[in-house]
Amino acid sequence: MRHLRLQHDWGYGFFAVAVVVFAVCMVLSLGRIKASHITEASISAANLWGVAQANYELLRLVNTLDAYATGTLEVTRDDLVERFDIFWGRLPLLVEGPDGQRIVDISDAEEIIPDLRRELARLESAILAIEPGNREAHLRLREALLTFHSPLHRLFVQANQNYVFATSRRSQHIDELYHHHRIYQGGILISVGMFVLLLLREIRSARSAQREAIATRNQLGTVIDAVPVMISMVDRNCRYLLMNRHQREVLRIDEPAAIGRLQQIRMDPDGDRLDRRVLETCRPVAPYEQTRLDADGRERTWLTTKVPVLDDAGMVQEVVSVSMDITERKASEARIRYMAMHDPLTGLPNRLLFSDRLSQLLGEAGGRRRGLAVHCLDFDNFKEINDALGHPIGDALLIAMAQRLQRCVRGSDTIARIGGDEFAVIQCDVEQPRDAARLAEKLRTAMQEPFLIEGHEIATTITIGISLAPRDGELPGDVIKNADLALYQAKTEGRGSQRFFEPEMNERAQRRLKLAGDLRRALEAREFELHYQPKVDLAHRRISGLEALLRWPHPEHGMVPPAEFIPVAEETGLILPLGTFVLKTACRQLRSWLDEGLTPVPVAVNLSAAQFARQDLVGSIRQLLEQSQLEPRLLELEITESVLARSASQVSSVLDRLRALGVSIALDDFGTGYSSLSYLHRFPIDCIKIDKSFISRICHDQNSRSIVEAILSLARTLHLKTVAEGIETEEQLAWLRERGCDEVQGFYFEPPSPARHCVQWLAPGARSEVDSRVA
Amino acid sequence: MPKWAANIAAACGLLLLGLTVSEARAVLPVPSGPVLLSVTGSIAEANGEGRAEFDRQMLEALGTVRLRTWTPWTDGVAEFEGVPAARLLDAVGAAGTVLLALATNEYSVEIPVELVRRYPVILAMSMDGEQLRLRDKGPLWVVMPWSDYPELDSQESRYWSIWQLRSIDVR
Repeated sequence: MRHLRLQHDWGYGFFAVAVVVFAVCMVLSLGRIKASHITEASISAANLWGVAQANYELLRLVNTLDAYATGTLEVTRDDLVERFDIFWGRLPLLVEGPDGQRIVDISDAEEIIPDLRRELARLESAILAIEPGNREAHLRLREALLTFHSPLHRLFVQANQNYVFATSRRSQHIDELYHHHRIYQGGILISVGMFVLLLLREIRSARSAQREAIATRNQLGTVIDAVPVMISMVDRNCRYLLMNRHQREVLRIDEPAAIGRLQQIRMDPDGDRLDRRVLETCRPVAPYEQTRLDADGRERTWLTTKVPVLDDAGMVQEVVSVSMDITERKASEARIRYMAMHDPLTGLPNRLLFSDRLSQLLGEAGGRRRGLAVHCLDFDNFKEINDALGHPIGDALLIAMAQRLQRCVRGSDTIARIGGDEFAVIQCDVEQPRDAARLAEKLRTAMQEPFLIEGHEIATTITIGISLAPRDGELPGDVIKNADLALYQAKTEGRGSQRFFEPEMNERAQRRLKLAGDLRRALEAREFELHYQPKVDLAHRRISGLEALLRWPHPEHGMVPPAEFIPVAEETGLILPLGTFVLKTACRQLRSWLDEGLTPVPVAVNLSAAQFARQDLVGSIRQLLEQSQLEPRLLELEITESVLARSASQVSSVLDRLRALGVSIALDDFGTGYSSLSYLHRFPIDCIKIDKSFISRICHDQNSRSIVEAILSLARTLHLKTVAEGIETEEQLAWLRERGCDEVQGFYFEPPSPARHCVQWLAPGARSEVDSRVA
Repeated sequence: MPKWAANIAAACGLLLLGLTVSEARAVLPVPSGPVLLSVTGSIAEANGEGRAEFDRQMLEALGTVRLRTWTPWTDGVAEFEGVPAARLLDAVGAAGTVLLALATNEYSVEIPVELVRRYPVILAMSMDGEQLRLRDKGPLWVVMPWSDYPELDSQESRYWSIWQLRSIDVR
């Protein structure tokens, strides 16, 4: 009896261990799943957008305050209140993120934000009550608001770090998750095995009491049969003593047939060998994975462990095997891994996998002294296509593009979709820059063939920036950044081109950044001014109009060429306030000439594509004309062909409404862009300005002459006025006059001059030097 | 009057009412107050050039409902009142699959039309009886019935729940 009790105690201990192991495994497994969720969440929770937005909204508030207080731009008190409220509403979100998670490290945000909120509450009434022209209050409030910038920037830096950290952790985490799963599954198997052992021991200990043994055995059988895990036991001769229902179902055999048979029925050929090993070593086998076909011929993966059953003498009498079907779990793990690393639309690797591969290859490349190239690809007109034809077609186009790109690269190269319409390629084994240039050409050529998608024939081009490793950098971040800079440079040089990275591009990017800051400041300090260049009517021999041109006398660098600052203004959105400035100044100037009793001529103002995209363009021009009490015919708007190419139907309706106002429209730089003759009759245009690049060559280049002649005769047929730009010699003038060009403009007559110089041309009855030159 | 006759009369009355109501819907009025929301894109009803604009009165006239729910941004449960998004789509005769929603703070998100057709999502104008101001996510905030439909508690629905909503482009 005493012996029996001892066995029982031992058994209970065993049971307890089994339960604890099982419970711990479950808890850990759940814990891992939760941890993975939190990591996923923290990626979006590291919601950089929110913090970046706060900084941006603060600056917008300050700008609006400036504009309202100084009365420079059309800003109302409502606009100011709106900006204030938006910033006010943003602050609490930084403590409690828009997805319920904290965005930034708790200690800092919780420390900083309440202070900022208190300070903002203190400033509220003063900001909302400020009157235009109150310079002292304006500067005081401006100063106070700008003190918010540094703590918000600190949060931004932190959020950025969190984000970068979370992203890089993500791929590492997926591997860890997979690894841990195996361990926990192994733990569960071991605990099931221990549970079986416990029951066996119970039986053995109860051998003397036959009835108890039968009862226990029945319980054991019931439990073992109910578990959806394969459990079996073999004796020292590897013959089955026990096989639970799940295993019999999987193997499609009935119990009497199984019991006592040799191992030939098992589907696991290693099983026999491993059983023998357990019998010899008395040690359990650690969980191992095996993929085999089941009775239906489907491929399944099992996780198996084997445990020895020892008798009182410590000899192995039986071996218990426990196997778990982990096919689905493995498949879902693979799916998760795939989804985290691939773009769901095109199936290509995403930015994460791209950077992973790049880091890996750069590590190797260093060791093997082999170069690689990164190509950044941008689809030049994807956005327009997407806008014009809709997202479903845009998506189908992306898929088709991805397939075509994939056909151009070798299996060892990686092609990834790293952004909306941005793709990137890692090209391996690049010995010379020529190898990379060749692939870029191949990619560009492949895209030249139009795509046929749902009945639409879509033509597109791609621009490519290339950087080489190790030549242009050895860190993944640098290589990608440099390829991006090269892409930027290529795009400014024209769509459909390719460029290698050059170290100067870095400096240029820095300069652009500085220029953008200077632009902002110059706009506030009102450094910009307008110069006017006359247009001369060849038939009537008089000045028929002026073109207003933006000039920037920089306090340090002197005159900054528009070609340098306009692209930066377009990128930063400053083109909008600049455009407003030009329109307003031109209208005011006209008004003051009228007030001085001069005979004003129409003034032409250049409109940017961004201004065109604004919904209120027509309304604001109407308002401007009314405010300065000008006849609309005195205003002429010059647009480039690229504006027309953007969104034909919208542009057409805006142009119609402008014409209905009485404003005339000129097509600028004609012949240089995507000249499409169809524009000329599709859009309501009054005038074509022939680009100066043709005019400068008319005297010595037959091709240019033919082009200009064609433009002139076309314009005559369509009843459009023609203006030739960039006249520099008498010869050019004579040639144009002979062919019936209506108006000319250029240095031959006058360079663009400040407004005060224009007075001489506008005085009633004035005959200036211009007239004598026309004559 | 026998009971069946009364039933028929009532049914006719309802039918008539239905007819007049559907006729009254035909034209969208023009906003008289400040415009809170403008809807563009593939819509059948408009009161401006290709756009349907709504002031507060017009939105209220569409009929508001109350929605009690927790949100990821409020403490506990709050009671919202606003126009069911589906009702707004019907009012403008929207035909599309995606709503491109834009906010005054320049946030934008694409909301699937199916979502607002399947769940009673509202454009909330007030919370706990207080009109939503710009500074507390107003004047319009897309609120999901999170409490009633636990399956809506996802990252995506948080992105869809745009506040300071200003315009919708039906695509």
